[in-house]
Amino acid sequence: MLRGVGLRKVFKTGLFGGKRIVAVDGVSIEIEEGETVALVGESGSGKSTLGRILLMLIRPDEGKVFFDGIDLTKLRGKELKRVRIKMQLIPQNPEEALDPRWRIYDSIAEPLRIHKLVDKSEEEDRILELVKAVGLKEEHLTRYPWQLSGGELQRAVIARALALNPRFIVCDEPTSMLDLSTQASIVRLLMKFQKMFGISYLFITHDLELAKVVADRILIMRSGKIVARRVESPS
Amino acid sequence: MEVVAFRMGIFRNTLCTLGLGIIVFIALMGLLAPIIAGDPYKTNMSERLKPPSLKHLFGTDQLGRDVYSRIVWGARTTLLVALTISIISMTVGCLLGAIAGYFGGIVDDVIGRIIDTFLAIPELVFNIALVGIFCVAYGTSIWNVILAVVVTNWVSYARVMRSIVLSLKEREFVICEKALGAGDWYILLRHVIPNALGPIIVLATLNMGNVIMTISSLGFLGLGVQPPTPEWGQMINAGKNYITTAPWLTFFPGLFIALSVLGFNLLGEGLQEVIGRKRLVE
Amino acid sequence: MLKVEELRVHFRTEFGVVRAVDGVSFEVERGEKFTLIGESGSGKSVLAQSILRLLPKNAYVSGRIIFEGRNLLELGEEEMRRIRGRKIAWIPQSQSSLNPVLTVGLQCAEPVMEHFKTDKKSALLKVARMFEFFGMGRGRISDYPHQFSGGMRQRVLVAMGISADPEFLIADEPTKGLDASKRKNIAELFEKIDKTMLIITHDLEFAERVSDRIAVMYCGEVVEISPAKEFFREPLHPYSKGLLESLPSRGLKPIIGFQPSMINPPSGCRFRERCEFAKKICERAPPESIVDGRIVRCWMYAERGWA
Ligand SMILES: Nc1ncnc2c1ncn2[C@@H]1O[C@H](COP(=O)(O)OP(=O)(O)OP(=O)(O)O)[C@@H](O)[C@H]1O
Ligand SMILES: Nc1ncnc2c1ncn2[C@@H]1O[C@H](COP(=O)(O)OP(=O)(O)OP(=O)(O)O)[C@@H](O)[C@H]1O
Ligand code: SF4
Ligand SMILES: [Mg+2]
Ligand SMILES: [Mg+2]
Repeated sequence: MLRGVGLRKVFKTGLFGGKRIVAVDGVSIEIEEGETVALVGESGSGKSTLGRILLMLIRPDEGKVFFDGIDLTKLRGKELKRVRIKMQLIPQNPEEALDPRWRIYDSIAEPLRIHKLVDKSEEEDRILELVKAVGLKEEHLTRYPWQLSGGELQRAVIARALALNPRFIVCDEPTSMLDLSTQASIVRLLMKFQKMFGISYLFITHDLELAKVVADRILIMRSGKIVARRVESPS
Repeated sequence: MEVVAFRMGIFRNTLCTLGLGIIVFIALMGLLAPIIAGDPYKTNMSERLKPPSLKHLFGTDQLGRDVYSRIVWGARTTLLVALTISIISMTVGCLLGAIAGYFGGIVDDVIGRIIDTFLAIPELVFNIALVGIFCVAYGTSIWNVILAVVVTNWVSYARVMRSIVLSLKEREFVICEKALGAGDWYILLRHVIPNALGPIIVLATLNMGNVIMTISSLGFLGLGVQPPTPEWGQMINAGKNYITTAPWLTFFPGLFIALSVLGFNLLGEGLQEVIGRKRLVE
Repeated sequence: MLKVEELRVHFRTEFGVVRAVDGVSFEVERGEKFTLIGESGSGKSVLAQSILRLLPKNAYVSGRIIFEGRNLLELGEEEMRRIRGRKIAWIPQSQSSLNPVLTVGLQCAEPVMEHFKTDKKSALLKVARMFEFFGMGRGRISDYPHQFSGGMRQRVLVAMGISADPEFLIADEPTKGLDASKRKNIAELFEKIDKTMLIITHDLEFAERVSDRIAVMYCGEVVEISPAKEFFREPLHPYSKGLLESLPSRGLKPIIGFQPSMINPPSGCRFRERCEFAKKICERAPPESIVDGRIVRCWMYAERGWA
């Protein structure tokens, strides 16, 4: 369903772009319908960058991304927007992922409003249902992001990513701020959605144990390259 | 709730309270002018150049007009003109700066070049030249002054806005908006600009002081608001010939110019402190 | 060194009063590493922020926080500022506390300069050495936060927190988003630093390794305080047991449900609705019992009433 071919991304930093950081270095990756691929690897190895390239949030310097056979690197504006309904991101830093001036409810409702998918009354039902599923309560919805705990924010961001019923989600360390029990509930919720709607996940994590439980395949990344691929027996 | 907390912060800050007090005082003067002051245009040749007294609090001028009334009505003129200038230049500057910062590339190069050029020219000299040109082209009108000041004034907003937007667009929440499928203009108008408004409000407050100075200077040079409309700078100009014999003609307009500039600067400094601290707490 | 007594932090919100911390008492001794674990949203970070007096304005704090003989809640803002950073350092949970328009190196150098009264150059040198220790190349100190990966920013936060060499360190999830080898680095570092620490974490492996005592929070209350070794051998409170059972390696079995609302917490034992051992008596608030020197708040361990 999703395929990245020969992806490469070099960041230039320093005053005049003098320093070069090769974040992703010739990666090819393929994710099937309803499959979970775990991406593990040390910090700074380029996992988040790869995830963002697959979602076209960063344009790769080289390589192509195909979604259902369409080359995403060629799309612009409106066409890209239409594809984005189907692919979402659970970002790594939930504290930075929401507009600090927006209430949680509006932030979660935003994707539905942007794509004009549901009307007002439906919107509220849908959001309450999502929010309950991730273990938040109505009382959290009227608050601003800084009035929530780290883990609560992370779950709000997960609810937002699920709101559009996407077919592919890049989960960038979706449980890094959660206690073990809540982590288990959320991972189970993601797996349930996968069964119900056939979602595919790219699951970025540092926890190899967790990766073994959730993933069909595990990719290991080091300095921008995928250095190992493992198939996990279904658990 | 946020608004309440914000307001509490403002009143707990001495600078803010003081500045706001002065501004409210002057704004009330302007608002209530018809009630608290007499006719600023009424001449009375038998009462020329009278020193301050109970009848004429600030004395009378060379045409026998009540200086107090002219000062009070002058507050209205000055604030209205300054506010118009600020609103127009803020809108233009913020939009251009935000567009330059957000879209980058050629747009940014062009806008950036314009900003640099304007920054290199001494502001007041340019204002004077522009008023001159506009006067010749369109005849005397208050809009000449407004336009001339806007032409140089938007630049500071654009510069600040551009740099804020440059750092905001790297923030994760903006990237997440893209992931949701939001368009560039939507992100710019709904997320980026609102989040940049804090520093812009500070800038606008501090800038009001500058604008008042500029209007008064133009008035003093005889290029600003034209007589008989009461305006402080122009009043100083008219009074400078009598500076030894009737110093109140220059003293009171000067005092009120200084007071209003001080008010906006105090409020600006105070707001800067409050907003800075608020960021820390968050 | 730090003594928290009957601490309560309440937030006023549109939906009612959030009792984020509700009657918490504990003591951290000099040189001890005291770790708080517990459900997401149970009030751990709020507790830490109340020690530093960094809570937003809608917070109402009562109780006592005694640090080196003085009640922090009664100090003036000026005195508090002197204590923050110099005596008590804080590694915040949120990475948004990094300044987006300042290079990372300068941000780390600031506390060093202030504390050791050195110039910018030697402070930056020290920061560069620290970056190397954390596996991030010296050259990166002139980059901005958004140019770092999530785990790198986390390491920057840790570096910033320990750079001023404080007497008391509050570390809020210092290992989140880090891979195993970097977590080990930080654990080793924490073991080596001979300072008093209050650590908040969800990373139980890390907690087991560095901490002397563990406190478990649930819904605004501390439900168990135990020495770390004994805690991981055999947790007492049913919530603690459930937490350890949810490890991915043990099959990812969550405790059913989520933490209840903190606006209207259930009466009696707050864990009641999710507890597999719950009985009638649990509708009354459980007393604090002491079992082998371990403190636990559950009827199961009460002298009377369970059987
Ligand atoms: N916008 C950027 N500008 C410059 N360098 C960047 C940028 N984004 C990422 N990098 C660099 O690219 C490399 C890979 O970053 P990436 O965020 O993909 O790592 P990661 O594998 O997700 O790590 P972590 O587990 O710590 O999140 C890092 O060295 C990082 O500093
Ligand atoms: N400013 C605030 N206003 C209202 N409620 C708040 C505020 N700050 C925190 N809370 C609430 O207080 C509770 C405790 O939050 P806290 O941040 O301490 O949780 P935590 O234990 O650190 O959780 P996590 O592990 O998820 O970070 C949460 O339910 C949160 O929603
Ligand atoms: S008091 Fe009762 S409900 Fe609460 S934890 Fe103990 S056994 Fe469970
Ligand atoms: Mg990452
Ligand atoms: Mg927390």
